[in-house]
Amino acid sequence: MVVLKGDFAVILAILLLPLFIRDSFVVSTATLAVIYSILSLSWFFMEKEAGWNSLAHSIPFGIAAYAIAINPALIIPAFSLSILLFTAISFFGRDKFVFTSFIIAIVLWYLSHYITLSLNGKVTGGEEGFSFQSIGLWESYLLSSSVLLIFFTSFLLLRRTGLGLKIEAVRDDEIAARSIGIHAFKVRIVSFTISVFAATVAGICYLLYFGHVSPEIFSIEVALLPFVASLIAGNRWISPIIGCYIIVIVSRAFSGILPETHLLIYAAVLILSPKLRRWWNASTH
Amino acid sequence: MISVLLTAIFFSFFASAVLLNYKIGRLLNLSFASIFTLGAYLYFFNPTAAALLALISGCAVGAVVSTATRKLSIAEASIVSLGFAIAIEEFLRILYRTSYFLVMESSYVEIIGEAVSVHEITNGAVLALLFLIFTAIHLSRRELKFVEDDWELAEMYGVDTSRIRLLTISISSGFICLSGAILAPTQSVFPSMGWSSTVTAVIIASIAASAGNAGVKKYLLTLPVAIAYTAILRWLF
Repeated sequence: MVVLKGDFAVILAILLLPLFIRDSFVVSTATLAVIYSILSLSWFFMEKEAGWNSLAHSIPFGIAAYAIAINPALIIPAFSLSILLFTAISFFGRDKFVFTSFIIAIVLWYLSHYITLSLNGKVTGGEEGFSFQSIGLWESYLLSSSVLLIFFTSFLLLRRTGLGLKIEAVRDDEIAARSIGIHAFKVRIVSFTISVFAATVAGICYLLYFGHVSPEIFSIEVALLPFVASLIAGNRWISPIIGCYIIVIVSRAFSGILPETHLLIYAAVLILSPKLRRWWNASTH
Repeated sequence: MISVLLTAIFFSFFASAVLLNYKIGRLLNLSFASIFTLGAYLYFFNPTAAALLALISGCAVGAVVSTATRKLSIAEASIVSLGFAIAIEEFLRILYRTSYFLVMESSYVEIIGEAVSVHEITNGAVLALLFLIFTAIHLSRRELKFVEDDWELAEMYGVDTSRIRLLTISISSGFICLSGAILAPTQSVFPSMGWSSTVTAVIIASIAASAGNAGVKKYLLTLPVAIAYTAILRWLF
């Protein structure tokens, strides 16, 4: 409980800091970090709670942004499509889920270059992507910060409910969970739905902030971000948030000298990921 | 038609390398994406010695990937190989920042009314030969099939699985890099160019692997799958 209170205090401090600094560069950096934090938190829920290690959270994130940019009415089919996709990939099993999801994320990244819309003889989309009305910097920051706080609290509360326990039971031993009457497949779908919902909201926040969406939203960089972010800063619920802040700050700070700095961090974290994971697990216990 | 066949041979070889690494190396070797790109950049760096350089550097990178992923699960090993892929890609991006897209010239010959790149023909011939050699090795060396069928049992029977794994990953990486060097003049060269080939190879390998675990059948099956895939893609775009 003390740890959770500490985590809440850290998140509040991180979120409130830009409001006092009131510098546009700081707020824009913080907004991006907060949006990516929501995405990473959705990934962390699926990995830590449900036990499915996905490298394709760029899919619900990107599809949601594309759907809203093309026609907001498409958000429900986009949300359903993401859940269906994750469910389909899950049939390959937990071991293969990680790289099957990654390959599908890359395929979608390539295909996204062909998403075009013809309106009154004018073709939009393709590599340039779609535009949408941005709600502004401060509004975006306040919106995404509130969303992040809501999801962070909800995920922690969910763990204490019956549903949370069922999700954890299925994660730990699916056969044992079935033997005590838990419908494992239904629980899997529910956990995917919760995670995809958070990623979808993150995608909407992204579009409302930037006012533009292009195929880069499906890139390898975005697909790997949650995985890398959560490995940088530990094994707690606050870790993906801290990790996202580190990646975004490093990326912005070195953008003038070496724009690929954060990708070098990605490479280092991925290569060291088995050791990092074991180290964080050991330090947690 | 000739071009489709040559592209299919390349994809078939790439897919076989992916399959071989998966079955023997127990990893989805995503570092192939950047190893292929590395070969293409080596051609730009030194066209005369590119083939030799590519073979050596490909094998060296493969050996490093093999050693780094030796005691890991399939998922962990695949993620580590992805880390190597990004590291090589970013290294190339930093090194060649001033010339992001490189276009090199290739000479063409006309075969049955179709202009085909000499480099594509060379690559096709080299890979077809390698494919035949590999099939012969696979049929004659029982150890390879044993490790492929049951890794743990093979280890219990005294087969040096670590050595086979190291050799498999290193040699396949070397030839993927060589392919990158030979094919460099047929396409624009940029740091992330290897991903499309890798993803295509993984898709072809997945379809071919559905034929089961029986010997060389799955490797041979990559060719018709690759031909169908390439023909459909040409027809669509």
